[in-house]
Amino acid sequence: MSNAVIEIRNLSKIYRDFWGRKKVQAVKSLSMDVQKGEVFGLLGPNGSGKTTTMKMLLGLLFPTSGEMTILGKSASDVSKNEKIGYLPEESYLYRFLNADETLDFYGRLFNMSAADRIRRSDELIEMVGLGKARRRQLKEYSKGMTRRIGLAQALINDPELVLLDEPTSGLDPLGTREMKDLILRLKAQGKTVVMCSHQLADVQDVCDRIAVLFQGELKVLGRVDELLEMRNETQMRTSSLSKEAEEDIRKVLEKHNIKNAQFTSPRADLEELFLRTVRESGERPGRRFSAEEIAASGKGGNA
Amino acid sequence: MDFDIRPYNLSSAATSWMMLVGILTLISVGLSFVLSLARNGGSGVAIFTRGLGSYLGDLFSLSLGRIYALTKLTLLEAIRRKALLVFVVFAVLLMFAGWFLTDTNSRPELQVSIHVTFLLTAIAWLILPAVIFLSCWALPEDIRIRSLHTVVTKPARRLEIVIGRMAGMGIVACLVLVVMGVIGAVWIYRKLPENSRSQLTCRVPVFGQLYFFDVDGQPAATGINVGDTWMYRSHIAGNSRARAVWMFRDVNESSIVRETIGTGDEAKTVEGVKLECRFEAFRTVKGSEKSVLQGVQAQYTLSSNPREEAFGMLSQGEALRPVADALRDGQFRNGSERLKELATRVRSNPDELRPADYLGLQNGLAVAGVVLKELKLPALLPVQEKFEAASNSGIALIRVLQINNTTGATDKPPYAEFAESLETLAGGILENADVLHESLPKLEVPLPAFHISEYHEGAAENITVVPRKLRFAADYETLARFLSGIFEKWSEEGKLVEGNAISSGLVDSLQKDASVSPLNAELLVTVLNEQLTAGTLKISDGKLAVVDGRRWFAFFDDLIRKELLISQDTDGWLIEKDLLTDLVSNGFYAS
Repeated sequence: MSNAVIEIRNLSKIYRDFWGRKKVQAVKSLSMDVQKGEVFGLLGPNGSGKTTTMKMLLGLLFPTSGEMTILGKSASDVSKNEKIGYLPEESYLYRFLNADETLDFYGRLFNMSAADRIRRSDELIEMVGLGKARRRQLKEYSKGMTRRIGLAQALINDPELVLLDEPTSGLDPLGTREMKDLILRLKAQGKTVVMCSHQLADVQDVCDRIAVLFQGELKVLGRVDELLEMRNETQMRTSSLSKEAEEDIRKVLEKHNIKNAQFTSPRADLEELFLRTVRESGERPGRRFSAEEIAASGKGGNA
Repeated sequence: MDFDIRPYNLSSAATSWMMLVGILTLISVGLSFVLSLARNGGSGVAIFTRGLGSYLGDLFSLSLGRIYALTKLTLLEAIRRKALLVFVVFAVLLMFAGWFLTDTNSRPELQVSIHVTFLLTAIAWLILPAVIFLSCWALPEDIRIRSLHTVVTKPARRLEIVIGRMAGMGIVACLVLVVMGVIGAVWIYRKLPENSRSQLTCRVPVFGQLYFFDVDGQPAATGINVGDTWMYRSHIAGNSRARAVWMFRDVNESSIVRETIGTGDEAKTVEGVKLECRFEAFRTVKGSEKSVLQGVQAQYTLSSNPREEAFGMLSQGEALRPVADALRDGQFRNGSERLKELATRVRSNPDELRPADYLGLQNGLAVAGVVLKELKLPALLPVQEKFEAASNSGIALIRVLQINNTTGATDKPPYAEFAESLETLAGGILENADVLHESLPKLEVPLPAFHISEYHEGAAENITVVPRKLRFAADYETLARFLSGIFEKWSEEGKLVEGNAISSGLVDSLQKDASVSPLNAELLVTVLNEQLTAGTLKISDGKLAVVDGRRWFAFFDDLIRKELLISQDTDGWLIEKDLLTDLVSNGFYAS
């Protein structure tokens, strides 16, 4: 029995003008599956058909040809939305509502009981960290706050499948990290997440499998770790080596005919630096950190 | 062109609406099917069926909860986006409107009209932008800023979204209307002088059935056509016997209104029936400027006249008119004579009358039979049966006349039988003349005449409140009925006689208990004493009675016709009648 949450077969979408003349083919014969419980990434440059594919999955656009099922139902079947959560690329929410009202409104669309709506709203507002701003209208929110409340509305129904369009767009590194943590938490809860993003590092961090689209065609599909694995290289990590130790190791490697060995200290990425700075600034306000201090505290991704 | 005065019929309107929606739905479905075929060829049928199924599925799985969510969203949107600022504009308008609207020189009824018109116009013009803004903000804005994406990706049906948004806008518009209406009503109520406030009460129209009397005083279906195309607007000739008659069949306690007339100490509450009319004058002469400005004099007469109803239809045709006129006038003996003459004509020279005359006569007889039957008076039963018999005989005659006319046959029409039935009827009328006269009373109450403008603007002037207690100068017939009513009762009670003479306290009783003026009370007692002396009246068993056994009505009728009871007051015999109990009992006419 298939464990696929999403099944797409030969999906095509052609945008036409008023007279029915073909303008552009956004998606060309796309076929792929998304399995239950995985985090799936849709990648590609602008205009590659990611958002069109997602909108077709949600029933916002009708495919020109091909078939697709979501949670075993047709994409045009409104009842499938009962188990889906969707975070659009921009958070298209009602700016005159506050966070509580927003979640209450979307909860009502799922016919949730008043008690459930209140409980779920409290949980989600707490989860996305908007407890202090829950009574403010969304028009007063920053972009990051708007993304968070957008995410909360996507999760109001505790969905089985979450579709996230550019989930980290507009978020600061802290928010980005929290969003990635959240995606991983959703995965841990057994939910299926489909996301499309330009932030390749983010995709790499959270996705189990990815599909790369280019000009509407599927170019790459597979597991991230398999796709990124460099089979002709080996990486070894130790505590800091002395010059003598380096020479000895180099000799051993030459004995096995390996000549291009490199010995360097690993570097933390900018995200880790940023997160560590923010954290330590909170602990020791008013203090500035020197480059040496930062380098000395670098533990390579343990920020 | 005709004017339909029937009240609004909700069920018929709902049926029409459903039919219209049904037709539009069928057209839309048909058009969609054709388009689907045109776009998709053979597979269009399947696509169309799927679409239709999906729509029907949506229709039957509508969720009130989701509709409510969208309705509430629209309400919040209206409040948060300040659509309700119209209230501020409204308040400002009301604050300063008084400066421009109050004109102490204007008549109170015009003040009401000006204030109400201002308020309704202000509300209409303020609701309009509110609704326009709301409709622009709702779905189009949802689509533009794509907030609709977050809604349609929830289990919300398209139909629910549309219904929810429409319901929200409807509620906002109603809310604005109600709030403005209530505030406006309070504002008007406080603004208007006390004596004009009663005009704010909504009037429920009771439409009368309209018919006419022509210049000869004969019943007519319409008045004079002066070139105006509206059928209900026919005119009556001035300074003639022409009348317009409105017949009201459903006047009862609920028709009585209470109006305060006058201001301050002079204010008094009048209980009565409100008559509202709009008159228009059409002149065939130029007239002077003064006469035009003065307007036209009009007069209402309240009338209850079952004789008119019963015998009016007999007036169709010159030959039958003498009979009808006599019966309508209550001269039943004379009417019987005229009917006999007619029967003789029918028997001896039937071709003098045209077939149309026979038709009119039969029709009149039938109507008389029906009206007498409706009165449900046992005393009238024998006469009513004779009218019916004559009518049936007339039907037999007309049938033969029609067959002869259409087929060219030469069957002998049963003129003799018809004439015989008319003679029988004439005999019946003669025999029951007194019963008919007493059972079919005519009561006419003339109301004070008033001037009306010749122009439409004067509509407000034509509202007349007829007091429930009517005090008026009685005509001969009414006086006879009034006096006979009193004397029959008092005779039974033994109030008329004291020993062997007429009671000395009768003059006082007439003044106190029957509101007869002192002069007329004395006249009446004097005449009664004269009649007692002359032997027309007698006293037996302590009661006053008419010698020849006639009823009091016939006795007083005779006295009045002999002009023995001419009023000693310049006001005439003033008597009081109750509009409901005295006038309405047999139908109510205002002419």
